[in-house]
Amino acid sequence: MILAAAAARTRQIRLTSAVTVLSAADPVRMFQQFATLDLLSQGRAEMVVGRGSSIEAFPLFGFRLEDYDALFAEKLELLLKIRENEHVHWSGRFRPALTGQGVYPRPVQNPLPIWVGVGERHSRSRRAGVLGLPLMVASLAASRIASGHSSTCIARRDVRQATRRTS
Amino acid sequence: MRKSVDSQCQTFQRAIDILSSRWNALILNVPAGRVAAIQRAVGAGQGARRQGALGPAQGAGSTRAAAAASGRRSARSRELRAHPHGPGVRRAGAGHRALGPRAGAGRTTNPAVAGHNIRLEREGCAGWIDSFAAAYLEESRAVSPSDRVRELVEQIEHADQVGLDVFGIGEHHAKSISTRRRP
Repeated sequence: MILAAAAARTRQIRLTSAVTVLSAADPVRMFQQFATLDLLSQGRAEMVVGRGSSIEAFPLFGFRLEDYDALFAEKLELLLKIRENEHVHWSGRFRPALTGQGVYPRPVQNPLPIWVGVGERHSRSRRAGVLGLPLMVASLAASRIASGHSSTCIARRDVRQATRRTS
Repeated sequence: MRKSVDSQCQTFQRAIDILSSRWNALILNVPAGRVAAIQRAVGAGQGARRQGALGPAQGAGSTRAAAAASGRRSARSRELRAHPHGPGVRRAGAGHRALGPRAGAGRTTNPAVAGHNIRLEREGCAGWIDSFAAAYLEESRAVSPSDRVRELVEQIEHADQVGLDVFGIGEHHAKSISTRRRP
């Protein structure tokens, strides 16, 4: 909602989440919200989706922490499917199936930019790489930040990959 | 006299100088290969808050050390990310209200922005700020949640005007984020 307010008062800057805790959210609703932001901003919206650096969202929205990997994998898959297709056929463990319903609104940008945000756990980096998604790396622990070169390396590697895809 | 750290990062320096004391996180948006330059620029930005002027370039990693050492705010994330396209050249409008530390000093225009061409090189650095709608840590700067989110929108507007590329807002569910009230 803050980004929506900002969209109405800005002209050039791109607006993104950092991050959307996709594991504890409904990908359909999230896509609709960011598509709306994209319409409001005339094509300046992006999403960065991730597990989240803190765990409050899981019990708050009725999800189990033990499922965090499976939740993220499933919801990311659905989100990308919605991005690619106006009408979606999909079924999974954590959400009722979609049987060809349309997901609206559709964004100005096609495709809507979606990044994967990761913390220190590099397993999600690999997932982003496999899916061909650009990666945003956060160094969340101050004690590790000083020697955060490994994270930086991963960010740079995957970013090059992303740049190739967009050019 | 302000010392330039990296001629291609001046806009980002200015933006940091103007905006940084209120952020608990910065995302720097850089083309691959320019990470060290950005780290130096931000290192200088950290110094600016302490000393009131941009200091000499610091080595890579100093940003992070400075952030860790700072008791005034927490560096929740410090991220590096590339952007596929460079920003254009824009002229900032004169007379808009300055945000950040200078606003409290009674200035109504930002000397680093008003009347200047704010230029971002295509192959230079590009600005990227990320923030939670975080409450200030200092009691003296505590504001109501309503004021804080409205101020955040103003900050995004200002970031747009100084030519930053991207503004991100994090999702959070903790009380300390945006809900701290004036004592």
